[in-house]
Amino acid sequence: MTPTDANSLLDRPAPAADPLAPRLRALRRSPLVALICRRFAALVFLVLAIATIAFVLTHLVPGDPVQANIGIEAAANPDVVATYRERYGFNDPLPTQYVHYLQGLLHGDLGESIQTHNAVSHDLATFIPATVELAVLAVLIGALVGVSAGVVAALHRNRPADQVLRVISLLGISMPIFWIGLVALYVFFYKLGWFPSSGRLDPGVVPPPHVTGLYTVDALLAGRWGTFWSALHHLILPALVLASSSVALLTRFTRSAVLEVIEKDYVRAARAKGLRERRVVIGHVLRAALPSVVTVVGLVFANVLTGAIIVEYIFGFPGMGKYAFQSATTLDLPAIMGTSMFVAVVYVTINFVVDVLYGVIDPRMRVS
Amino acid sequence: MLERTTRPRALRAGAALAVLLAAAALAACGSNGSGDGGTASTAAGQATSKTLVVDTSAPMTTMEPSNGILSRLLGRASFDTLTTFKGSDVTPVPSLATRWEASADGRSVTFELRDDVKFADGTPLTSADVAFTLRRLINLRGQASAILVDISDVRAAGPHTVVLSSKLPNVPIAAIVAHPALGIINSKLAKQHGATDAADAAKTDRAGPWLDSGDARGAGSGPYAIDAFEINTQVVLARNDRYWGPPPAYQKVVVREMPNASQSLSVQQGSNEVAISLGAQDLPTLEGKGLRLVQLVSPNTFNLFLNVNPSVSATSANEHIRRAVRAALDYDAILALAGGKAEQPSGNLPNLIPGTLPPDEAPKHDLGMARSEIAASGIANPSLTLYYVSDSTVNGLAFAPVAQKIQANLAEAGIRVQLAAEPAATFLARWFAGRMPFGIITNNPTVYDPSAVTTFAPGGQLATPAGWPAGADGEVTSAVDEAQAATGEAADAAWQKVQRLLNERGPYIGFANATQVIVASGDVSDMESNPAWAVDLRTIRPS
Repeated sequence: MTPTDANSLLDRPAPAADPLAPRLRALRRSPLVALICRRFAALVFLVLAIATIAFVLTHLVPGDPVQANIGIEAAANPDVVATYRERYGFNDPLPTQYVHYLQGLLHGDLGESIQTHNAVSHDLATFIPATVELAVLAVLIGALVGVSAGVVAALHRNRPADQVLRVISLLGISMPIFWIGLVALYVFFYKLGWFPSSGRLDPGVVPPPHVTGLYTVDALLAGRWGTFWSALHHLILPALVLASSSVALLTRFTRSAVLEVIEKDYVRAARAKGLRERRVVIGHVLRAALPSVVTVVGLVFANVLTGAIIVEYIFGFPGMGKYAFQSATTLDLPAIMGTSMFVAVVYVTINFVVDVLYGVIDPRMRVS
Repeated sequence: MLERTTRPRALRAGAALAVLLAAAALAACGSNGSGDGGTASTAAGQATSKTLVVDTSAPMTTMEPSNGILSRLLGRASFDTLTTFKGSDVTPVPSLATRWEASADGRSVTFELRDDVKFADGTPLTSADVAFTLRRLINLRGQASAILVDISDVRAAGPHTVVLSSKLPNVPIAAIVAHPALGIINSKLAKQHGATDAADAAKTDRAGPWLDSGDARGAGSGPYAIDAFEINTQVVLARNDRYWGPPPAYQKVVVREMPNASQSLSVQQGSNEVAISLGAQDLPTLEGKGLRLVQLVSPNTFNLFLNVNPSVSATSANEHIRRAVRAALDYDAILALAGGKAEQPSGNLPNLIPGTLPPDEAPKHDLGMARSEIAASGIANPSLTLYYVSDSTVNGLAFAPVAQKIQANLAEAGIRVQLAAEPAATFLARWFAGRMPFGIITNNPTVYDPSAVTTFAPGGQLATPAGWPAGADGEVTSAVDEAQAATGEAADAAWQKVQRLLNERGPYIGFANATQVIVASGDVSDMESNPAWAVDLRTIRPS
C-alpha cells in the first residue's frame, strides 16, 4: 500500500449516513416497543386458545341446536331438521367442524346464525355499536362520578362526606343490577314518565344513515337533532343503571389509590412549595394514582361492554348482550361462539391497551 | 382549601350533566315519535296520521314468512292468504280465493282467485304468485314447510285458478292455507332478489335478507307493507294504499320486541298501544286502569305425556299407570293455577277447533279410579320423573308450578314423582330422541281442523317421540284411516272416534289451554282477536 493509497483511503468520502438508522436503533432498544411486541404475541396466542375453548365448550352443551331453534312443529319433521343440520354443517365430524371454524375465523367469517339466518359477523356488526354506545356513556358517567367521588372521599377521609360516599358505593356494589334496573324502570318510566322503557329510538323513528352504528353520532353527522335527542333519551336510563356498579367500584378504588399517594413526601413537598391545592391534587396526587385507576377503568369498560346482558334485556335494548342471551337460550351455536370470541377479544385487547398505557404513564413499567 | 377548589368543579360537572339530562328529556318529549325527517315515508292526506304501537315478546329475528314465528302477527298484516278467518272463528272464509271446490277423490282443491288484487308495488296478483309462494315454502324446508307437510303439489291452472293436491284424501286444505305464514308474496319481485321455488331452494334461495328490509315493501298485498326492519328491536309497517280491502286505520304500525314485564308497564303509560304477550297473572295489575282487556282461550294446549316404549320406562308404558295418571290429575286446580279463561280441552286439541269432543267428554278427576288402576298395574310404589321446560313460559304460565301441582296430584293417588327442570334446548333434544319417560309439552296446531289430531296418533310427529311409532296400535290407525276417507258429518263423527281412542290409550293427556290476554290503551278499539294471530292489525282502529 503506497502512502498515496493510504491518503486516498482517508480522503474517500464516508458512506452517506442513513438518517433513520439512529432512530430505528433506538426503537429496537426501546423497552416500550419490546413491551408492545411481547403483549401482542401473547394476545394472538390467547385469541387462538380462546377460540378453541369456545368451540369445545359450545359443542359439549347437551341439546340439539336445530331443534331448539325451529319450534316444536318443525322440529318434529325429520326433513326440516335434516335440512337445517346440513345447512349449518352439524352433520360433519367435530374435527372437520373445528377446521372449518378456524378457517372461517381467519377470513372473518363467524358462520351463520340459526335464529336470524344472517352471518354472525353481520349480526355482531349490527348489535355491537348499540352496546358500545351504551357502554361508553355508562363508563363516562361511571368514571366521571366515580373518580370524582373517590377523590373527594379520600381528601375528606373519615369525615362525613367520606362516610356517606363509602356507604353509597357499598350499596352500589351490593345491590344486584337487575334489581336496580327494574326499580329504575318502575320509578323513572312508569311513575315519573321521564324516560322511555325500551329500544334505541322512539317508535317509528327511522334510524339515521349508518356511519358508525352509534345512533347519537350518526344522527349528529346527518344533522338530525330530533333523532339525536331521541337516541340520547333512550340511552340515559340504561346507562345510568349500568354505571351504578362502576361508580361504586371506581369510588372505592380511586379512594384507595389516592390515599396511598396523598401522604407521600413529594406531595408534602409540593404543598410546602406553596402550590395551589388543585395543582397538587391533579398534578401530583392524581397523576401518581392514575395508573391503577386507568387499569380499573379499562377493566370496567370491558366488563360493561360484555356484561350488559341484564340491562339490555330489561330495557329491551338491542345490543350484543341481548343477542348473546337469545343465542344462549336458543342454543344458536354459531352466534354463541361468535359472541364468545368477541367478548374474549375485547378483554384481551383492552388488557393489552391498558398494559401499554401503563407503560406510557409510568416509565418504570417499560423496563420492569 | 381543597374543598373550595374541588367542590365548585364537581358542582359544575354535576350541573352540566343535569342540564344535559333535562334537555334530553324535554327535547325527546317535544319530538316524541317523529325524529326529524326521520319518519318513514307516508302517503299524504289519508284518514289518520296516528301510529299504532304493538308490543310482543316474540323475538324479531326475521320477517321471512317461512320461519313462522313472527308471521302470525306481521304476516297477517302484510300478506294475504288464500282463505282466512273472520273474527274469533276458525272456519275458513274467502280471502284471495273467492271460492274453492274439492275434487271427487278428495285429493285436490281448486281455488278461484280475485282478479282485482295488487301487491303494494302495483303488480297484479295472479295464480303464478300463489304457486311460487307455496312451492317455495315447501322446498325451503323451513318452519312453514311443516304446515304444508300434507300438500304434494301446487299448480297454476289459469291466471286466477290454483290447484293444490294432497298426499292423502280429504286433507283440510282450505283450513291449512289460512295460516298467516302462507301469505302470498310477489313472485316477480322476489325472484329479482334471489328467491326460488326450485327443489333445492333450501340451499339456493337468497331472498331472506331482502324480506328483512324496507326494500320488501312491494312483497305483499296486505293492508300494511313493511317499511323498516330492525332485528331484535322493531318492525315498522306503513299503510298500503293499494290494498284491495277496507282501508286500514293507521298510517304506521310499529311492532316492538319487549319483555313481558315492560309490556305491562308500557301499555299503562302509552297511547295507541297494544300488548299481546301478557297472561292471566297480569290481569289484577291491569284491571281498573282504563285499559281494554281481551281474554282469549289460547290455542296452545298443555299436554302431559307418558312414553309408551317399555325400554324407556316400564312404569310409563304400563296402560294402567297411564289411566291412573289421567284420573289423578285435578284439572280444576290446574285451571285455577292458569287463571283467567283457562279451559280444559276435551282431548289433545283445543276446544275452539270445530269437531273436537264435547267438553263433557274431557277426562275427569277421579282419585278412586286412579288408585284402583295403580293397584291393577302390578307395580308396587310406582315412581316417575317428570320433565318440563324451565326457561320459558306459555301465555305467561310457567311450567314449574304446573309440574308441582301434577306432582302433588299424583302423590295423592300413590305415584311418586321427581321433578326435572331443563332448559328448552336440552328438553327438546331428550324428548325428540324418544328417551323421555314423562313430561309436559305444549302444542299449537298448525291447522284448526279435527284432523290435526293425527299428530298424536301412532306414527304422528308428536306420537313418535312418545314411543308410539306407526303401526303400534292397529285400532287407532284404522280409525284415522276411516276419518281421512270420510267427508262431511261422517268425517266429524270419525274424527271424534279417533279422539276418544286417543283419550283412552294414547300417550298424551291434554289438560289445559291457558289464557291469552291482549291489552290495549283506552284509545284503541275494534280489537278482533283470533287464535291464529292473537290480535288482528287489519281491523284495529283508534276509538
